[in-house]
Amino acid sequence: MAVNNPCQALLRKIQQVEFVTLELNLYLNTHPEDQKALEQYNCMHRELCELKKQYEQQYGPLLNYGWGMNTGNSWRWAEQPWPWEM
Amino acid sequence: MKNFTFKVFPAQSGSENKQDEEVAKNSIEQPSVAKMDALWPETAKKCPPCVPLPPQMPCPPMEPMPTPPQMPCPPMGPMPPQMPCPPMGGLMAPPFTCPYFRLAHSYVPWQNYDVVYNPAEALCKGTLFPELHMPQGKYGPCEGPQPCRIHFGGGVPYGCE
Repeated sequence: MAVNNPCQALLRKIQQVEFVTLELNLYLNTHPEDQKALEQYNCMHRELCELKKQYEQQYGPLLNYGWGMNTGNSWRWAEQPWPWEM
Repeated sequence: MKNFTFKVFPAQSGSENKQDEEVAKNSIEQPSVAKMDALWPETAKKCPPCVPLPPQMPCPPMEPMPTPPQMPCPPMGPMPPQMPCPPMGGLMAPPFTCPYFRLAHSYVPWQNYDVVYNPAEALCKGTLFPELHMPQGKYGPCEGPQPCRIHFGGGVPYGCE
């Protein structure tokens, strides 16, 4: 996916940080006592939450059925471009 | 992780086996060294004259093999406790000596959290850990889409942005 606009750039940043949390999650499954990895995981989790919140405030919910926040006076889930339109 | 290791103990020659051993000793007569010498002719005891080996043929020029990426070894973690070699005659293959390697056992080195990629590089390379990064196309002629495209046509180019 080419990054052409701020929305896509922010989405790409979310993908990157989410991937790091996934990798740290897998590492911690086998290294549950690794303090450095735990610290890094929590740091990445906070950053991911911040990025998702920022995205949803600006562009609409990332997930539906109650898992994402809608801002504004209209239902933005239906207004957003679909993944294949981005 | 638990290390499941089979321990093989030699059969104990207890009191119940002693009678059998006595029978075996009486029934099989071991030839003495003197008797063995008499059985062999004098000519057989001497080594035949050494024949020079044929000259070594020069090896054909090797095609350059694809080399895996040179990566620094991660720092070694604490080694498992050293265990004494169990008395197991002939159970181990010669190159793999005790105590770490045995036939039909698999070993995975312990991963340590050290240097990691930044998020953009991690997503691009498909792993957070440099020691797990295995780029496509470096380990075979048709490992990823790009080499397949080169060899067989089709496929799409890949790579980081």
